[in-house]
Order: sequence, then structure tokens, then C-alpha cells
Amino acid sequence: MLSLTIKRKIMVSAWRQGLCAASLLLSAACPPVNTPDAGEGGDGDGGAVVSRSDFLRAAGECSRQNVTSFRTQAEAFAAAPTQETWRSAMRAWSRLEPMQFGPTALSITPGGQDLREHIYSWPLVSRCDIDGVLKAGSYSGGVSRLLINRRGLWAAEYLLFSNPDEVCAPTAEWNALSTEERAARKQAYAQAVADDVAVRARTLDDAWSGFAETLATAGSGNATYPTVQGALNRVSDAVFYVEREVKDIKLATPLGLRDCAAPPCLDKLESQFAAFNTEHLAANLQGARQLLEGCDDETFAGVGFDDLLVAQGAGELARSFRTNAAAAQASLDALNGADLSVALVDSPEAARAVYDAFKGVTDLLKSEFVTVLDLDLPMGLEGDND
Amino acid sequence: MTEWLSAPRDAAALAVFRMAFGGLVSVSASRFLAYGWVETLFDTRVRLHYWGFGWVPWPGLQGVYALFIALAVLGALVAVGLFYRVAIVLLFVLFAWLQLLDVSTYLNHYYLVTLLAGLLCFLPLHRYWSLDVVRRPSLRSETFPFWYTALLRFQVGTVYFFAGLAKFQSDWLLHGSALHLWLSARTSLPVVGPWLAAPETALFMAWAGFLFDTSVPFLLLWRRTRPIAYLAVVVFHTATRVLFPIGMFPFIMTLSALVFFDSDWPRRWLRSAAPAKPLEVPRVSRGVGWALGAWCVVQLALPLRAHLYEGDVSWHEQGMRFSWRVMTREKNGSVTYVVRNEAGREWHVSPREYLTRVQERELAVQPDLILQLGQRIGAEWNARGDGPVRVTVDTLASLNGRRATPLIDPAVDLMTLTDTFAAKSWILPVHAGPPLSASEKLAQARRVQAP
Repeated sequence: MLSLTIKRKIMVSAWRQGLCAASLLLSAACPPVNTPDAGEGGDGDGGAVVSRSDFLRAAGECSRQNVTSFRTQAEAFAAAPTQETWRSAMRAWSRLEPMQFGPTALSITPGGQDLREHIYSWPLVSRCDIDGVLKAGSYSGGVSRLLINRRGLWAAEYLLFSNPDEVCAPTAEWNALSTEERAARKQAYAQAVADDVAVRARTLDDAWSGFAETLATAGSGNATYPTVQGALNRVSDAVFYVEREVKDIKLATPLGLRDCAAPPCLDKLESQFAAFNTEHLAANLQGARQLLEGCDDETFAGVGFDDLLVAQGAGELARSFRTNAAAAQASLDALNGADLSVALVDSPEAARAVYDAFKGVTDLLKSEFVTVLDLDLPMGLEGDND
Repeated sequence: MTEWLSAPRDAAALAVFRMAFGGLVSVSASRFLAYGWVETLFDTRVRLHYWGFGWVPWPGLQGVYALFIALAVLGALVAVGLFYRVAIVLLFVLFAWLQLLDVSTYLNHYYLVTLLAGLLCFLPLHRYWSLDVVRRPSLRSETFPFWYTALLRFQVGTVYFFAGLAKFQSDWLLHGSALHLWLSARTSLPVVGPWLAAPETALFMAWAGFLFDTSVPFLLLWRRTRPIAYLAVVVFHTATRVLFPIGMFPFIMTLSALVFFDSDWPRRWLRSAAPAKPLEVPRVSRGVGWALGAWCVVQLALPLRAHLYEGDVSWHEQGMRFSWRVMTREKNGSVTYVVRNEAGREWHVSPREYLTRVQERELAVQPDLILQLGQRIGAEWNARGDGPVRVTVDTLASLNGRRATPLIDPAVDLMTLTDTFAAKSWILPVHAGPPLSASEKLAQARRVQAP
């Protein structure tokens, strides 16, 4: 009886609220309300409400800006293929890894030109295949026709950072070479790789010329992105790089949380020769934050997904994203400059904290983020629903 | 009552219903083949089975292709009424088989097709306007007893009514949350696009959908309101077809709703002569009467069972399937299984390693599926010699834009649980906060506009 009374009260209350909503509805004027930024508490970057098209324009410009920056670094690397110029080029590329949409992406996606794999084929890599080319000297006429796992920035890392005397299955001819001759061969191969990377970088930069506008004008009449939501989904798919590649492959696997017989699995790290793993992670995170928060390199100011969340009324989620992304950065900073390969051995708790912090970002991506923006998860099926 | 149910009615309307049903099944199966959905949906490493249906045999991917081809043919046979009695039984069995292969493919409209096919197995709708009648004129019957129509009306009516009842909740009516989330993502649609982001639109459509679903079966039943109600059916389903990717559902419902019209409507359209004086139609037997009653009770009880569980069914999902809760919630989640053995080794297992994208998305918000895969992972670990293991699960889910919260108690060892119909105490309550609210957004806009 008591519960019936309570239920009745709840019903009455619900109907009162319903009437309020209905009256609010009826009192609404016909034209759609241009809803304000919900970010009274500093949710957004200020200014007008950000539309999905505004975001797409910003994301396109941001990607273009990063591609151009990479082109500059790739050209510097080709001009002088050293460890230092490789680091700069690699850092610039790693920022682009979570921005694989448009020309950067696979050709099965709108506007994709399959350029990424030509520049950085990881995780499809093989040191011994590179050695095969090295021993045969088949890089001398250029590397553009070699398989993708024998060129690109990962091959360059191996060639520039590995011990010049060590190769897979050394041949008698290789054994007859002096250390200097071996190093010279590796350097020559690295030069050929760097030249190829620079060519690809220019192609990518050219492909992006005008593509930001294509992205910004998604919708009816746009042959590449016939709907705004479809374009938004492609950008969101790209950000999921931090879930699949970063959290699972770059972190969980070497930590021994998956696909690893006896942790830590250092052989599963992305950077095997340059001890660049922490830098990779930081640059990947930076690229993701540029899309999630805003394109500014340092402050992440500008239009990002967070502004869309605010416009949708999910300011709290936008704040959570920023907080969790900053926590992921802090977890990397807590490694105190040590590479992940070192941290996995010397301070596994700190390495685990990096994984947990990245998971804090990806959990939000997979749950609230896709809900609030009505996005499909990557590789979602176009099909029936109800 | 039995007289009323036995009363002869013109067979024309149900003959047209048979044609439409068979045609839709045929088109639906052909779509699967044409769009490559067979591979996407059924080429899976793991199949998530319905409770009690783990025994359903897997025909192999080529077998699934064969099933869809067979359904396309059987649908056509039903439509033209050729070898109907065999065709409809096979159609029912094969369609149900496909549905039972994997829970992640569950859709309310596939369930409806399965039920209708099951009912048609008992209704000889090939006795009029069919090739079977051309082959065997003795089959011909210009009338059917009224209970055929009544049964189909009941079945179609329950879909609408329970779909409406499912909307009687604050997230839908007071906040317009799911609709606001969906419509905001469709602003690039021509003409109507700019209006869809407005919270007023979501609230209007939420109420319109609720009122439509709950009232339309009754308005269709009453002759005076039937034309306008059917017009509403057409408008409603056209709108949902334009706005949402709901495949064949609008067509199925629009054509199914024709069963509410008078049984001679096709004849009036075709200006065909009325049927000859009906033959004596036998009274409904006691057995048929009981069977009809039992069917109706089951069809009413299944959707209502959700109310036996405390909390929001959209969150805990107990009683969600087979309840006609059509597009009432937007929910996504993240799932990571944490496997630990006695030696202290810990593994994190993503469902992605076992499931397709479609399966993973469904699993992430459905506790029984999370349990099913968790137990499979645990068994696999034990079998490979890493056990005995504890399997817990780290989940986060967001319902209608609420802040994400854990769906499953992260302390519970999934290996110790059994999936039953009892309330699942290991499902945690939904976030106490409100969903993303169109009405709140509207109120906020008003506050800003106010001087």
C-alpha cells in the first residue's frame, strides 16, 4: 500500500514535470534556438556555440598544420639523415598518428590515399627484411618500390640506431666488410629511406592542400563526405588510435597484460633501437589532444571535440576529457625522461600508471563520447537498427 | 466469443498481407546478400548465444549464405502462394535459426518477422489469390474466419503499444534525451536538418512518438479513425526511415498495419466482385481457443516481465529483448576483462580480441553477454594451463548521455556466476544524475534570452 502511494506520488510528480516540459515546448518559438555555450564554468574555449562543421574545419586545419610541420621535418631529415633529425621527424609523425583521416588514412576511407604505411609501417615491421635489403644493396636505386616494411621511419630508426655490425643471418660478403663499410651501407640505406619519406611527406602535404575545406564543407553535395556526421565519425575513428594502438599495443602488450608470455615484453615495444617509446606516447597523446581539446601545441586552445560536447550540453564530460588527458600526460612526465623500455624494468608501477591513465581517456571515448555525439565506433557496420 | 472469432471474413485482405509479408522477407534476405552483411554479421570467431540456445547448430558461413538465399526464395514462394504450407514452415524455421545464431544480431523487427512467420504456419492464407489455388482449385476459399485477422491485429498491435509504453519514462518524455542525441547528429539533412538540433524538435518528437505508439493500434481498430491513423502510420514510418538507419522496419510496420483495415479493402480497391456466399466456417475449436489465449498471454507477459526487475531496464537490460523497446535508448560502454591467476599474473582482455565490432558494441552494454564472454575467457585460460583464474570485468557505460559509471560490480568473479532469470545483483545501479536533456537545454536557452 505504502509503495503504491509512493509510486502514485512519483507518477504525479513525473506528470507535473511532463506538463512543465510540454508547456515549455509550446511556449517555444518556431525557429530553432541557437543554444548558448553551456560552459559558464569554462567548459569551452569561449565564444559562440561550436557546430559540427566548425569542428570539422578546425580538425582539418589542425591536421593540415601538422602535416606541413611533418613535411618540414621530413625534408630536414632527408637533407641530413641523422639520429637527431630522425627524432624530430618521428616526433612530428607520431603527432599525426591519431589524425589518420582524409588523405592520411587508408584508401578504404573517404579521401584516403594509403600514405601512412609508406611513411611509417609500424606495427608491420621486420628487422631481418631490412637487413636483407641492406646485405643485397638493393636500396641503391631508391627504395620506393620496396615493400613498406623495408622503408619508412621504422626502417630509418633501425638503420640509424642499431649496431652496424649486427644483422640477421650475416652472409660471407657482409662478414668481409669492415665496421666502417657496414656503417656506411646503413647510412646510405638510411639516406635512401629518408629521401623516400620526404617525397611521401610532400605528397601528403599536397594532398592535404584544400582537403581541410573538403572536410569543413561535409554534407549534401560533398562527394567525399556526403554527411557531416559521417565526416565527424571519420575524425573520431582516428582518435581511437589511442585505444587500439597506444593503450593496447604500445602499453598493455609490453606490460604483459596481453599477448606476452613473460612480462615485461620489451620485444613488443614500438621503438626497438632509439629508446623513443615515451616520446612516441607523448606525441600520440599530443595529437589526440589537439583533436579532443584544440590545436594549439602547448595549451590545446582552439576548437576541439570538447567544444562539441559543451555545445551538446555535456560540459562535465568535456572537463573530464581534459582532466584525464592531462593525467595521461602527467603519467608520462612521471617517468622523468626515462624511456618506457627502462621504466618497464626499473619502475613497472610507473609504467602501469601510464597504461591506467591512458585507459582513463579511452574509457570515456568508448562510452560517453560516442553516446553524446551519436558516433559509431570504428569499423561500425552500416546496417539495420531498431 | 467463439461465434465472433469464427465469423467468415473476406479473404482478400489476408491474401494481400501474405503477399506483402513474403515479399518483404524476400527483399530483406536479398539486402543481406547484396550489402555483404552476411559476412560482417556472421563471420565471427565467437557466437554470443541466447539463454538456453547454446545448442543451436552453426551451419558454417557458406551455410548462412545458403540460408539467406533459401529465405529469399521462400519469401517469394509465400508471396505468390506456391507450395505455401511447406514454404512458410521452412521460412519460419530458417529465419528463427538465423536469429538464434548470435544475440548481437537481435533486432525487434526480426523478432516480429519470426513471430509472424510462426503464426502464418497455422493460417492457410494460400487459399485465396495464390498459385496453389491455380494448381488445386479445391483449396480456394473466399473467406477466412475472423480469428486469423484478430490474431495478426493483436500481434501488430502489441508492437506499437509496448513500443509506446517503453517510452513512458522520464528520459524519453521529460528530457527527450535519446532523440536529442540522435537528431543533433543529423543536421546535415536537406530541408529539415537545421531544425533537428533544436531541443524543441526532440521534445516534440518524443511526445509525438509516445502518443502515436500507444494510441495507433486502437485508432486503427476503430473504423472512423482508421484512415487518419493509417496516414499517421505512413508519415511516422517515413520519417523514421529518413532519419534513422532502421532498415526494413518501417516497411514491415506500414504493410503489417494493413491488417487493421476491413477484410475486403483490396477488393474495393480493385473494384472486384464481393465473394460468393461464404461456405460454412467451422467454429473455433476449444483447442484453438486455448492456444490463441495462451499465445496472447505470452505475448503480453514477455514485454511486461521487465517490470519484475528493479531499476531501469534500459540500464540493466533484464527483460529488454522481446519487449518491443524500439529505439528508446542511446547507450555505449567500455569493457575490459581482468583475468588473474593464483600466481598473481594479471591479463587485460579486450572483447575486441574475440568479437566483431558489432558484437562488441552490443556486448558492452548487455550484462548477460558480458558474463557469457567472461566465462568463455576464463574457461580458455583454465584450459591452456594458466588457471585457475578469477575473471572480473572493468566496465563503464553511459545511458542517454549520463556520466559513464560501471555497469558490473568490478569485484565479482564472473566464473562464480550463473546466468538465470533471477535479478542480477552484480549489475550496479545507473548513474543517479540526469541524462543529457533537451528540456534542460531549452530552459537554459530561455534563461539566456530572458532580459
